[in-house]
Amino acid sequence: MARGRDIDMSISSLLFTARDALSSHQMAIDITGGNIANVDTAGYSRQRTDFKAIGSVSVKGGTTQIGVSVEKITRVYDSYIESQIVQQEQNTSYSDALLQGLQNIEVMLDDTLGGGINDQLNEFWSAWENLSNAPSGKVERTALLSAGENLINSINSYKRNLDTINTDMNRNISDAVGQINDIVDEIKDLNLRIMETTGNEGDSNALMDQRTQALKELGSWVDFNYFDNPDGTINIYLANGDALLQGVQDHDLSVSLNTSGKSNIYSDGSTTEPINDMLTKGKLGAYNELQNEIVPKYVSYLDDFSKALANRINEVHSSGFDAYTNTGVDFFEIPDLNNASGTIRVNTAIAADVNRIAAGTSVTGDGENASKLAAIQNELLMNSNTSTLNSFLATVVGEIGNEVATAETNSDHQTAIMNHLENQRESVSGVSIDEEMIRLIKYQMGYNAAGRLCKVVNEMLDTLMGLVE
Amino acid sequence: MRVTENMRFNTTVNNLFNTQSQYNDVIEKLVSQKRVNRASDDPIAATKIIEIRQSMAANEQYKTNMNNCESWISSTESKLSSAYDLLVEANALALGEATGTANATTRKITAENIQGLIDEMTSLANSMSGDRYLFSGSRNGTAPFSATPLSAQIETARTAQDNTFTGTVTSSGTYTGTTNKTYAVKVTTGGALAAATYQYSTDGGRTWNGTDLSMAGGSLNLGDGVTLTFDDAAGTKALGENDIFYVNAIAEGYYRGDNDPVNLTINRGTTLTYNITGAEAFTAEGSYGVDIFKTLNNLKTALENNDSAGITAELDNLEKAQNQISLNQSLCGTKLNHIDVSRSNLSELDTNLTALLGESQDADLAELATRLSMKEIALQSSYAIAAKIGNTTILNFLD
Repeated sequence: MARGRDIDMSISSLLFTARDALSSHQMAIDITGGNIANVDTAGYSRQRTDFKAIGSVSVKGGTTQIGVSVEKITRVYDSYIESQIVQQEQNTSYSDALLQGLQNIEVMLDDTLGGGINDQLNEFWSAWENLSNAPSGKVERTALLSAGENLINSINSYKRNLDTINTDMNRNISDAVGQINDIVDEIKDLNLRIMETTGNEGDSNALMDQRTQALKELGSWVDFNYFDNPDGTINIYLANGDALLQGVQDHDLSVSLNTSGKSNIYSDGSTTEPINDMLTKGKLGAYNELQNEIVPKYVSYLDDFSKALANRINEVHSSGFDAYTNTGVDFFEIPDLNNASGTIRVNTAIAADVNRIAAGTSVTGDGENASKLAAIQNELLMNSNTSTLNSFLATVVGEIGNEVATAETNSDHQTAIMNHLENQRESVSGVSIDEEMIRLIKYQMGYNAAGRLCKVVNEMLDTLMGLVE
Repeated sequence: MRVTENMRFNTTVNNLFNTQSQYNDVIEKLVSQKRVNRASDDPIAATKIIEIRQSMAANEQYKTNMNNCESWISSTESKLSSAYDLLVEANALALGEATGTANATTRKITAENIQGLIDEMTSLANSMSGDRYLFSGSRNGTAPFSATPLSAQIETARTAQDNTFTGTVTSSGTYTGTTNKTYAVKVTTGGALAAATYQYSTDGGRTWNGTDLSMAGGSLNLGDGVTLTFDDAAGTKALGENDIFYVNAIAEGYYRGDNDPVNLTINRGTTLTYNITGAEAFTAEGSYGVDIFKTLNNLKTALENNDSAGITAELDNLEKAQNQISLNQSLCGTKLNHIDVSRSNLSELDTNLTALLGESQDADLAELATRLSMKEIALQSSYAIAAKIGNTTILNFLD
């Protein structure tokens, strides 16, 4: 397009001017068409045609421009907003994924509408009271056994559900690491192509858009920073400074299960130092937090509850006498103390024979011990002797409720920020049909005028030729 | 600000989603009629709701316990009242036969009547509530009274089912105690007799003597003349830790139960002793120190023997017996009052808890209905606007 001319005025040169104007405006209409076509393309930045006057003619000591060319096609964007969006995506995705995980735990632990572990605990206490009223009753003993088993089944199944969340997180983390590696790979390819195109002074706008979009997607998975290189490529670093991508050299993340069944994430080359602690944003950050902090916290609550329940019940139970006048055996058993809530069960000897329930404080068959066992519901066994077993469970429900409520607020907040940034980006880079239409009219007028110029020049030539005839 | 179609679209869609989610929220609360449907709706209220429900469940159990106590006490009271009537009758008969107009024949006939009263009294004193004897203390599987007096006895030694010890244990001695007791022995260190140690209890295992004693020799003196003798077949049959042996010792008289209270929890931290033991009501252990069965049987003997002095002598005891029964009757009344007071406290508490639960949990329907119509209007305008985006563009003016 660019073409240096420095000539005297001639009719034929007017034809060149008209030709340049026609082709420049046609290109502008092409670009406008491209903008209109991409009105719904995610991450698309509108493009603008920059015209430049060319060809100078000297007229009596002055010069004037008599031609036009398209100087360049500008991608309209604000790199500050773009990078803010990438950063914000890390926060938004983190809080969304965290909220989802917490909601899963809430559904499991929630007992606000009744029918859950709290009711079973209440029934367990009631069963002891009923037994104390009829210590030799087979029905009362059997009812107590099933109340105990129901309670334990609930605790076991809560633990199983938490374990399932842990397993889900392993799968999520492994998926996330795969996604991150794929996206980094994609950005590496884009880097390469941008470097080549920029070198050849070609058009890299579409590639840049794609790369920005890929960075945003990467932001939804993990927290990172990126820096521009002079050759048009970018480097990506994790929060701890480990490189994910340096120009066209990528560094894959890897993941492996550790001995406690959780995912360790490693950056390129290392298999000894997991970087889990550094990952605090993006979905990966949320998965990491759920697996290493939140789920273990609720597991420890369940474990504490199970141990306190078993210890105290066993202590009182074994101070009494069963229906065979034996000293009471342990009522609950915890075969694996490291997994108290997962393994707690009613002593198999009691499950096999309810007469082994030690309802009496003496060998005469009284129900005093059952009364004492029921009174454990009022003992402050939890939270350094400040709350009962029941109220401990109630506070656990309150705690998860609170965490979810906070996460909801946070997620709403982060989404609002994201919407705001997206609007800002859209305001700068988005395609406005109205604007494109007006530009279309403008460029069409320019094109028509240039065509008319051709016609005039043609007539002028005809006139000139007529002179010769 | 430059506004593009996408901005308009996103804003509309986001607002529409927000309004819809608020609308759904109101609908959920209306349908469930609950303000708190999950813990995150109001974590503090959720905790409170669960705690209130626990208190209510406990109260429910206390009420059941009170009902059980009440029916037991009412039965006891009615049996005591019948016993009192029998004593009044016996007293009247005795008075009649104490006068000079009575003779050997009338006294013989009256003696038959007294025997009838004794039988009736025995059957009253052996009444049951469900499958438990009202008056046998904590031994409520044993009929508390025998029709004939028993001499002091030490029953056969018994062993717990899980005992390791397979040798023999025998009881012996003459019981010198005045009340019925259960003596228990718990092995604290297992092994052969020579090495084993034990602790003993005189109240069936509720409390222990506290120090380990040697079992060497195998003959354990548990006090009041009760002796348990162990034979480990020359050390070949070892005792196991926590092996339990026990023996019932019965004092002389008609009573076979014990004097232990039977309790139920009727409020947080409050237990009620709901039984009257046969010992308190019918034996010399009672507050007036009258053994009712002995008195009646003495009366009967005196009548049979035409022993007018003997008859007169029992008149005094019969009066004391009436006092003893009526004292226990009034005790029942006190216990029933206690239950009434506790019950009214409890139902007051229950009303408060129900109100609190409602406050924490129940939705304010009037308010929700208002909010629902507000959200409906908001939703309708969102839809109206959504249908209009794209209507006003330059395209309308180009042809």
